[in-house]
Amino acid sequence: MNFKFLVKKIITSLVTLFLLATVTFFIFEIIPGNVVLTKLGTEATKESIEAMEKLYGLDKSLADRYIQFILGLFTGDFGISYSTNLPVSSMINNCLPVTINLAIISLVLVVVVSVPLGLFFGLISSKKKNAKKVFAIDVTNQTFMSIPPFVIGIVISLFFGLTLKWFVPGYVADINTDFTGFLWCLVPAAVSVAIPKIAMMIRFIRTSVADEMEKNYVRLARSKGMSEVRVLFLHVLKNVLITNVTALSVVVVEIFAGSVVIEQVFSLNGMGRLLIASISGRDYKVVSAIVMYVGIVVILTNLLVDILYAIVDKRTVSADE
Amino acid sequence: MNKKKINFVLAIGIILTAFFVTIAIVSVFYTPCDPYDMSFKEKFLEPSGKHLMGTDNFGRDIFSRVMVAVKNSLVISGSAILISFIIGTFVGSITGYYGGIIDEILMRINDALASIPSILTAMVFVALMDKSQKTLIIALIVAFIPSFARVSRSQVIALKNRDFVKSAKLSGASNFRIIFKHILPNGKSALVTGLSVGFNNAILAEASLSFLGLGIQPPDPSIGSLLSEAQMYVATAPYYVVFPAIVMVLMVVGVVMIGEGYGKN
Repeated sequence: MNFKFLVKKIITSLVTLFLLATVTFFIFEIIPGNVVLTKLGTEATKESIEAMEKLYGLDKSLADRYIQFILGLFTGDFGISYSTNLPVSSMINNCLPVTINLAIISLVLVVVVSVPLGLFFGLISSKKKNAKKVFAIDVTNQTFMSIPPFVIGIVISLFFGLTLKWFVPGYVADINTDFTGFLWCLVPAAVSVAIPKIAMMIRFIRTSVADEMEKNYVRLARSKGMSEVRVLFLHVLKNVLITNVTALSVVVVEIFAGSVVIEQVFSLNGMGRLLIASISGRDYKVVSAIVMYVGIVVILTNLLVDILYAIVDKRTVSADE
Repeated sequence: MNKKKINFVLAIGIILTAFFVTIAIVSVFYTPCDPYDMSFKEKFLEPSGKHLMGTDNFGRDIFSRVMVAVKNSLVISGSAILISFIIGTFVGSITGYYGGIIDEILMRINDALASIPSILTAMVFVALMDKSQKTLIIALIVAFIPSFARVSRSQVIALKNRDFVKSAKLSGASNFRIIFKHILPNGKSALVTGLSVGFNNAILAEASLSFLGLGIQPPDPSIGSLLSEAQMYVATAPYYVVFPAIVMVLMVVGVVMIGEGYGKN
């Protein structure tokens, strides 16, 4: 891990972020139609038009607005919403706790469940006689990977919510007075988001354990009389985790994608629902701000994963230069 | 794993997919009932011989609606994924082969687009245009180009310095021919796997968008919009949720298994 590598990765991430912001900004600029006229109608006076343009910052030039938008990435100021006349940042900040906590719970679930199960299945599949079991595992995994989170969400709220009454669908405890209760209310949604990703990670880990178990160093360890479990934990585990660190960034992207939809299923007031409302209400400022928020999270995750990967596997740095 | 088992996976995948394609084709000519015909007397009928999957809140036959939904889903995601596969592979392999500054710029833009989930990209496009089937297809095309560009680019980069490419160059083959006749066929298994994963994701994305009300608009059915309607009546008519959900899962499992079986061959 050297300084040059780190700087290179950070610059690449910043460039990616900048490009994403540029594409996002101009894509919403090219839409025909005047927001102010649409809002005020044809009978608007000149003064009211000007006042409204000033409120939304539309009196400024395109270049000024572009700079404002780019700066917004660092200040968090994305202007005033067209539909509510509130600052976009405060609208998003109201929704952030739900989405962030949902994503964190899902991510924890994915890691906690998939790593042990993946290792276990990997151990099973490294033995030739278990071919049938492996096939059954793969098919089950495949099926769970293929179920979209919102279908799982509907099934969970039907079965655990309405039939077993373990939770009340649509109810979320207040985050300020009852934080633990708030987190518990997010768990059903998090499970729905996490299940397909757990299946995906189990599969990644299982195949890489099976691949590693074929390698010469494992054969050597076995021939020395080491037990399978010891080989797994002392030698294979490290290599398997290194290989799968990169998959985490995919999981984070997918968790965000899944939570956009799942918030609708469980009526959670997160960024996903705000996004859908803003798309229907043609509130482009909110839409572009949300795109940037998600983009920042994903780009940061990728950066972290790259750095983490370089720390655990020193070969990447030299290969990258 | 032995060869027999691999073909078994592929076979199930092909059978499932062929089954749904057949349903989609049949739905154009024949459905047991009119999928749009409302009859308030026949609201929420349980599954029976006449209505295999029961009827919905407007008394429409769910089975017929599921048939049309399968068609819509396959047509939309299939056409979108095919177009974005062609564009993505073309761009990715050309820039990967030539490298240089254009490759660097395009790949940075690609990374930027890939850094937001494809469903979000698709949602942005729905926001830009009206909510219609055409918009949905365009949105999915744009959303899936980056992943295909990435796959084909990495294949081309991995293969372009191999000996068979060098000998093709020496024998005077044009760059274009080298890329599309020599390099890409060798990366076929990665491309096909990518295609099946993409198709799968497109089906899910279409279903998700329609579920959110941003895709196919009522009264046209889509698996996603059927599920979103069904969710409201989940307590009174659970079968309304169950059948579309099963169909959705089987459809995706079929596509995934084709990719699986093919990738391991």
